[in-house]
Amino acid sequence: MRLIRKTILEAILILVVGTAVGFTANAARAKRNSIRFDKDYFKISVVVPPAEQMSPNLKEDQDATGSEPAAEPGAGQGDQPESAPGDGHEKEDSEAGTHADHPFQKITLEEVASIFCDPSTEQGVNIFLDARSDALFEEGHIPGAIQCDRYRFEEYIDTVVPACQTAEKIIVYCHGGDCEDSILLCCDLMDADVPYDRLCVFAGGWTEWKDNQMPVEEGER
Amino acid sequence: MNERPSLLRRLDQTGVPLLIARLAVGGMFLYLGFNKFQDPILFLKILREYNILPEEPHYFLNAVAIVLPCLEMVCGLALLLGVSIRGAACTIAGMLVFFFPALISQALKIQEVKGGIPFCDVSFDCGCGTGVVFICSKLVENTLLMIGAIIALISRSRLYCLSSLLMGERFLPPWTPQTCPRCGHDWTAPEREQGAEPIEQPDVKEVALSARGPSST
Repeated sequence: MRLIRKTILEAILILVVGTAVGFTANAARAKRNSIRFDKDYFKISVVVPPAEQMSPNLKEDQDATGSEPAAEPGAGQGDQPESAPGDGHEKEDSEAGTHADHPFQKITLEEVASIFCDPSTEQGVNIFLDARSDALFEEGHIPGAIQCDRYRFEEYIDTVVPACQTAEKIIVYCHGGDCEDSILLCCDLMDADVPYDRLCVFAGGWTEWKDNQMPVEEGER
Repeated sequence: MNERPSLLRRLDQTGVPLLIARLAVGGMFLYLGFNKFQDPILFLKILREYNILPEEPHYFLNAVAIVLPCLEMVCGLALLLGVSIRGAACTIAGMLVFFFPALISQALKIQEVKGGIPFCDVSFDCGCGTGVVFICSKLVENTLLMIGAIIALISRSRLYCLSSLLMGERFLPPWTPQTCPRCGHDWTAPEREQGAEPIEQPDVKEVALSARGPSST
């Protein structure tokens, strides 16, 4: 009995020490490599603007930049998201963040490829955002894509948001499959006042791009 | 009457099984914990993918991702050094009990998604700190770790443990001559068993008197 009590006390001591070391180390380590205890990393909260507000905004932006619309008809410009209602409402359900049901415009590999080959893409009219981690980005990414690790969004906000403000179409991708980082990055971008109707999610992501022998760029940008 | 201890007991008294278990389990947990500690965000993401911890309140998931790698490192370090061995082994066993169903359920989910491939062909990043692994090899690894933790939990030997040095108990094996630094007791005495209470030393005066016999009093 004495042994059991002693073992339990030791286990509690280990738990206390482990917890204390964990929180101390998290507080002491560099901000970019720590977990913010108070941050909800996976909350999806999207205020979908009414449909009538989308087109004029887009038109104004296009007039301001003086550019032609990126796209080609099939490139997703005219495709409204299936789940995007036109009456403006807030989605705050984490289940809404799956690729099957999220409020952002979904585009396929063919559409992404046509945007990629569009000459205006090189001028920054269309931009690709890579929501994966730094290490994965360096291993390989879509040529010309801008790195924006979704979980370290604060670090990239100064470079990414201005680029998004001037772009007409923002293609956000992550690993593909079950990966939700692209959707979560879209939410972060919307919070940073990037217009909703410019954001597109490439659900197939990096896996589909690479598996189809599309061009790959390595290293940092 | 002195009963001869069983083979397992004698093996345990050598301190070797505990030493091997401590080095293997402690070293492994220190390594795995450190790998998780290096990329806490990745660990947080993988932890969420298991869908076994509640997402609300979000503090809970964050706290687990912050604490678990360090807890593993503390347990590993405690085992390696030989301090609070039973507490560390108990905590590790508790964690492994939690990891087993989590791994199996995640593997079954992946197996279903991949169209019913053989269970042992399922590979994924389990968030264990070793990257992508095959589920069967991971389960075997965890079983071995569990066996090691149980050995550390039930062993009565405290040879080669830092706690023995700190508490003034035997640190080296029985064949090494050694006396207790506190009471001067000879540890090589055959009646001494590991983990037993220190044997009370007979009073030297009484021994001398009894040797002389009643006539001398």
